[in-house]
Amino acid sequence: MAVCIAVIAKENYPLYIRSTPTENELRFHYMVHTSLDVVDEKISAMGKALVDQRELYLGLLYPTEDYKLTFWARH
Amino acid sequence: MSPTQWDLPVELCCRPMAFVTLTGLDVVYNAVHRAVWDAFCANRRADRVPISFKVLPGDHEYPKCRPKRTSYEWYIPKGILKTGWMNKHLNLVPALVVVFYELDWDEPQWKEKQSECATRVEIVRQSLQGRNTKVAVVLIQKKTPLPPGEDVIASERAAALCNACELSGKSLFVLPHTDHLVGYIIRLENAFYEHAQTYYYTEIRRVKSHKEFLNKTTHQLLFVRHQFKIAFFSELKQDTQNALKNYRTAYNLVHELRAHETNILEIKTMAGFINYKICRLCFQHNTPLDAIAQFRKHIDLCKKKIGSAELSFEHAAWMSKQFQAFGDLFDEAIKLGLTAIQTQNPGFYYQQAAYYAQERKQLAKSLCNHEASVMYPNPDPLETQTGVLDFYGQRSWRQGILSFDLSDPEKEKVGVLAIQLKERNVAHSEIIITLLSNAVAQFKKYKCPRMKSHLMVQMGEEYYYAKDYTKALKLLDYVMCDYRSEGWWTLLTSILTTALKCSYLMAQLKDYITYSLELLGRASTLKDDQKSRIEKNLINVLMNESPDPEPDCDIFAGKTAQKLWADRISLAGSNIFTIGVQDFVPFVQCKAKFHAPSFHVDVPVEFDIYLKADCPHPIRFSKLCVSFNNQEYNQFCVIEEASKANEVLENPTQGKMCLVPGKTRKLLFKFVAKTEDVGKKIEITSVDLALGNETGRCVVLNWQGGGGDAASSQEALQAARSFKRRPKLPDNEVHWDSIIIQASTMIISRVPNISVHLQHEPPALTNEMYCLVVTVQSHEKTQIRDVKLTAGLKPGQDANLTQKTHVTLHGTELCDESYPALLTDIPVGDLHPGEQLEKMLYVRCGTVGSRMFLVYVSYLINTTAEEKEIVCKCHKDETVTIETVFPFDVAVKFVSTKFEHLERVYADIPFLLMTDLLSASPWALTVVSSELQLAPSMTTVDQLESQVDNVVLQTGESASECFCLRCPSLGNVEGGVATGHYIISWKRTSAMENIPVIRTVITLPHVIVENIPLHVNADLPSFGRVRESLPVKYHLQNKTDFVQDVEISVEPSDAFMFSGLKQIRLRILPGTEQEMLYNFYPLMAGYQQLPSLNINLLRFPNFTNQLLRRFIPTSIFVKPQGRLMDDTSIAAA
Repeated sequence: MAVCIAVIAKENYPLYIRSTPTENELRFHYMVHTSLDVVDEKISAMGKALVDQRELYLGLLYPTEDYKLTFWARH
Repeated sequence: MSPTQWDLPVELCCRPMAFVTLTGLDVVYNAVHRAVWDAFCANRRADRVPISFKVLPGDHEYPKCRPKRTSYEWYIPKGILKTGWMNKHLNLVPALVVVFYELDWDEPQWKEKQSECATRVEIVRQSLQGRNTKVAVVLIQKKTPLPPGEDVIASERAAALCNACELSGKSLFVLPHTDHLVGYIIRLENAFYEHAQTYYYTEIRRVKSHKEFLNKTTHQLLFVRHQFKIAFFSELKQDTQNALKNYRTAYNLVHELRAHETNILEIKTMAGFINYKICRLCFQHNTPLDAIAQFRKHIDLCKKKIGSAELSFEHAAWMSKQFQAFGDLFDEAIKLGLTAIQTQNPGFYYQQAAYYAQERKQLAKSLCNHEASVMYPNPDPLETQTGVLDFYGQRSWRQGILSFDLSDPEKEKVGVLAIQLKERNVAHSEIIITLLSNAVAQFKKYKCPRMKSHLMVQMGEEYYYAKDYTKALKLLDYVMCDYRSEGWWTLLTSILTTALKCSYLMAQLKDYITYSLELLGRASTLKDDQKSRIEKNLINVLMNESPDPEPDCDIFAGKTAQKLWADRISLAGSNIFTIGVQDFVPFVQCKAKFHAPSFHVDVPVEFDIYLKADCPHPIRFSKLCVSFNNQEYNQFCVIEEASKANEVLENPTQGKMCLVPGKTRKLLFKFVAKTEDVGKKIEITSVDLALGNETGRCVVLNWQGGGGDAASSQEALQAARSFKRRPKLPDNEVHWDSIIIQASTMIISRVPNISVHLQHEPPALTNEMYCLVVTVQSHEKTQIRDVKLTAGLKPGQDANLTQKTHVTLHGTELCDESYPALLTDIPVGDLHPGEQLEKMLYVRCGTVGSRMFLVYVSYLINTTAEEKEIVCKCHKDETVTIETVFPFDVAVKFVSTKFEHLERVYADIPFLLMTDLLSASPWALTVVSSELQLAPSMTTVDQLESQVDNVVLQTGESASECFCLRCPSLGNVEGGVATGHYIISWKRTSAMENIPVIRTVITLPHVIVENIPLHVNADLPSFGRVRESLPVKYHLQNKTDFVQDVEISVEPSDAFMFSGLKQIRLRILPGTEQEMLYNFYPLMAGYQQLPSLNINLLRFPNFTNQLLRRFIPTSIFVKPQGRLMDDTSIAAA
């Protein structure tokens, strides 16, 4: 079950973050924020290929102890 | 830090090596023995076999071997692994005991020595009774042994010694104490290593052999124990592949054990040990993914095995240690060359370790909150007789009890209490911070800046809990800007809230104010009631009072803080805090905007300061000042509103400086710029807004430039992308987002009110004094002063133009190179309203092409701005592009005296130079005079008078001249002979009398001169008449230094009869002339061919009649016979 959804601007600030109210909201904010390290790295590694491709699913970023993070990029 | 209960034992973490003891060596008093020992243990590099050596006395007592069990039927194990077992096999029970003995083969008292050696071996054997430990003998010999087989005595005695000591031949070694000690030692230890491996092999076999006696109901623990031992012996044997295999089996077996609250700690402890071994070996085998997979499996299996709820902090501590140990293994593997990646690096494991350490702390806090009166139990249930546990992971008060039922609940309770009370003394924060800082170092290495910041926040918070507020603030303050710059307001607010607590607890005024300012601002996600509370506290602080305590602070620390705040009040000193806002997001926003990008100096400069407060309640500021790059303007842009300290929140809607939350306040400023600043930029360098006053405490918010703070750029970006329509506002209000900061303006000069006209007749002619008439007329209402004219070539054009353009005000003299291209600041006096002045400007352009000329008129005028008298300097400029052209084209040609075109001239023979002057000027030109300056090589035949004096040429008209010249013989000159110069003196016809005449010098072309042997010229009248005698005289001149034979003949013509020599041969002396006289008698009228003269030079066959025809006429016009009567009759008719 998805517990948190975030939409991030390309300058890396959050446009929208909602998580299930029972959980610690701050923890999800930190989790999304720290995952941007991996997103940054993936996007810079993919570079131009990313712009050309339509498939922008960055896949599973990394597993934490309790959650899994996946990411989509778009133009 | 001293090792704690949770640290893995040293013997588990070390690399197991075969244990070999050396006896019979006196390393203290015997130098030879010392050298042997040093050779064994010094400089053990990686290429030496893995053995751990120890020197022991020959009679050392090794741990006793328990009698062999014949049956396991009634045996019930009391635990999984004894705490001493690993150490025993690493450091106490050797695989091999080596007996060193000094004995040479030729020892005279051989028998005695042999028996002493046998005794020593026997003593060792006694001590090792029941063990499979090997024994070897090394004979230290003084002599180098002979090759095997050659020394018969040696062979015999060796066999005898083996026999006496009950040794196989493979266990007897000889160590000659000679030069190559290290070489012998290496060979020795390799042999020892083989013996040790055999020993461990038999140990493995021995343990395996127990298996068949075990049953699954009572001996479950033994399955694990034996598997662990096999694996451990395999490691000692350096068989890591089998070790790994057996550890894996052991790991699976440990999880097959029936788990219960009473034994779960033992199971987890052993699972943790075995897991550690597996992961370690996987990293060693360079299969890190296997290590990671094993570790994940381990955690998944054990995560839920919490055990006793009362001691659940133990589980968290154990979990934390598992992650930390794996992180250490991972890090060690990286140091040995493994490559880690951003998403899989030791940092994640340290982070998770920290997470469990935090959980441990939380659990300990809730489970160990016994009252102070609760005493630590006596006797201590955690004490054992030996001081250590018998088995790993068991409880000290019920060691070896396997029952799942708690036989003595009271004892259990006391034991739990003892553990809880001990846990209370653990420095949890210290553990957490160490782990977090390990993680930070890793994430820094693997390019995870945000993860690093997050961990630093956690560190800061942990320091806060540990009451080290200084360190907490330092860390939090360090990372705040990262969250601010990326606009993660929720996270920033959370960090600020902790930071505010820290600054409150330390009574750090400036920090407290700064964090409050931001927590009240728009970046803060706090609820309004929280903001209200903070705002109230801030006002209190500004009124020199103590703020209310922050919620959820430690009670004791809160009390200390209150004292600190009270001390702050009594302390005098600097109560003004200036806070630069460009690096954070305060609760007031500021934007400065000049009304225009430029202002004329005679109108006041106007700008607005927009302010908007985001705090929950209206707030009154005491002072606003604006600073400029020219500080003289600062004084005009200050608003100060005297108010008492306690009025900050009162009468909120009155006064300019009271801001109502959400409403934009516009403050207009104007000032008159200084005339010196014309052409300069006026820039707002800062805006200062003061809150509070000097009697209490005062905060000055300082915006650099025209406002804006850390969030402004992101907001501007967001606003630009937003599709949201802004709601309509009343006319006098503006949308904050729509205000664009304009922090600088230009001061430009007053608009001039004069006219500048230029009058001239383009194009300019090369080198003439071209006249430009400048007319300046004042349209100002008052007198203008100090009018100055700058005129000439506009700067910034081709540099060559500057060299070839000269300007003067005096047209009567021709200007030369010394004149400038631009005349600057020529004073022309004052002008009354409406008055005009005229100035003539003469420009001399030395080259053709177009040039831009500038005429710049400046003046001073007294005027007023904002009722202030100012002197303005105004200026007006005009530019004009003027083309320069050649005034005329000059064509020159050489012709013969017969006006025939000449390719070359003949030495000493006159020829004509014709010049043709074609006017190219659109204006009439007067050729004042012309002059031909001949080169020394040329002479003139007649007078060189100008034939074109005062000729006026209109456009396209031309004036020609003709000069008869002669070139004396010069011999053969390569490239021709210079002719000279043609100089034309001219001026525009329209130019005034006093304008100087321009001399244009044309260099005439070179001409090729050729010598001829004979020159012939003819004297004859210009015309003849029918039947009237026509005398013709030919002059033949010998131009050579030779006597010439000349053949002359005259061919008859139909039109003439003639008398004279028809054919003759004569000689002409050098340099002399021969005349030939003929009388021609014309018979017909009209243009008639003369009887042709043919000359043949015997010496010069090239001299042709064709050449001759160039010099003498070939025909003549013959008039008909005159009839005087007829003329009159015509006149009469």
